Amino acid sequence: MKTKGKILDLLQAGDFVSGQTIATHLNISRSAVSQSISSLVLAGVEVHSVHGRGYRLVSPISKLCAKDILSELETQCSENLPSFIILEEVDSTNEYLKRNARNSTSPKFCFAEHQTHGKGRQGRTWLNTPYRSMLMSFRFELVGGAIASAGLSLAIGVAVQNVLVRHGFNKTGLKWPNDIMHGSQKLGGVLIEMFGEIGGSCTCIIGVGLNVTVEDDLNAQLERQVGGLSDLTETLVNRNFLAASLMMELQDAVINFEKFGFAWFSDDWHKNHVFKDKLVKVQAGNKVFEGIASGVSPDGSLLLSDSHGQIHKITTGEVLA
Amino acid sequence: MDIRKVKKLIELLEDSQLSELEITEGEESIRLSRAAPIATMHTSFPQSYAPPAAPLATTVAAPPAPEVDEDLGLRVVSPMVGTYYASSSPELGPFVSVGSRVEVGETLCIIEAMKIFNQIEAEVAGTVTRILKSSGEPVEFDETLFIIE
Repeated sequence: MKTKGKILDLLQAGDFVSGQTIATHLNISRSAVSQSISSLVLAGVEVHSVHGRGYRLVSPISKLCAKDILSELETQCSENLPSFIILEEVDSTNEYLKRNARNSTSPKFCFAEHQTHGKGRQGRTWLNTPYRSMLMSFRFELVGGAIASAGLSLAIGVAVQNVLVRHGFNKTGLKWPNDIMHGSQKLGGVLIEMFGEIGGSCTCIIGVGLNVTVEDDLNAQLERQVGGLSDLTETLVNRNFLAASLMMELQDAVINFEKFGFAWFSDDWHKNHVFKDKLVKVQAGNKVFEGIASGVSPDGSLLLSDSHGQIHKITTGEVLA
Repeated sequence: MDIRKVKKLIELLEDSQLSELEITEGEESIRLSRAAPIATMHTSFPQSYAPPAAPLATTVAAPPAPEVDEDLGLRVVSPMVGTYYASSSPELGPFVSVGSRVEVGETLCIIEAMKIFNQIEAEVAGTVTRILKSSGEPVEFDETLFIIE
């Protein structure tokens, strides 16, 4: 993956670069260049190869770069700089932090350009295009443990969406419990894993996945139900700025959550609720329920109002819209 | 004897399929029993969602209480309301089965609620003698999931 990463460094601006130039820069053979390009294409990075001109990315990318993220972090805050690591490829950023959870010096945040086993809900795979997503995880200790976690997943959804709004993506919203939406298209999601003693403090690993650019074939595969941040802007999404802002916001969010609980985030959640007062279907187990989504309760449960005006509290299930 | 302890014991008895429970602690001793198998309510939806018009609940008689063991073992309860999962993904086998030997800190199951996946770990080493839930079923706060002896 190292060679592929270095090739992308050369290609990321979006201009043609000849195979010879790449070979000279990396001190490898022309055929090694061509092999690496093939494996990039195989991983889902679209590369044009034109005889006599060289290689070019179909659309430019913003590669994650520790130096750029760090300088952005320093302009955003002066102290409490979060520790982070960027991986070219990993099974899942959540798994990476889980493996290193016992090591106190390991970084709190993990970013990856490509996940081979990204996690979706209940073992579903989170599909991503390498270098065109924001895949990150964050580890922290929740002193109150599982009992204090009510509403945490919604609070994190609010924090992620706050960052997007600050970066100009103000047409985004939230779907219960914490999907990041643009109209009916899903832009991203949050998945939290928690472990530790029952009743004691526990370790939380928050995984955030955002689509930056969704390539056409992936979108077709997902029946056009997903969107990317790049659909919402004319300019190239700077993933390094986004990464820095996400770290700062998540770091603050968990402090506020420990102090005030979901109450701190509840107003923002309601303001951005995409299905507010709309008729929705909710799949819970093998049953489907229908009602007006009026909002969420103080513990983050979805409140559904049925045709008799009766309010039902949904703690587990999936909103089908 | 502390009344809270008695309450806990009643809950323990109710959650189990035991017909009688006797505990001696120093000079104090308590014995709780129930005469006949009691009827339990089975709903296929979390109890926090209470359908008003047409109740989903059906009443089924609990199976007759099995032979009582001397040692009750330790209850593992759910720390939250959510959905019980026996494995980390549908394709994978369950974390534990009846008869599994578990160590402290070993994962027993996952309880999910609102996309928080809570890994429930064993707090004692022992053998899993009962599993009270199956994958996809809703669980309530403090509901018994496993008995470890």
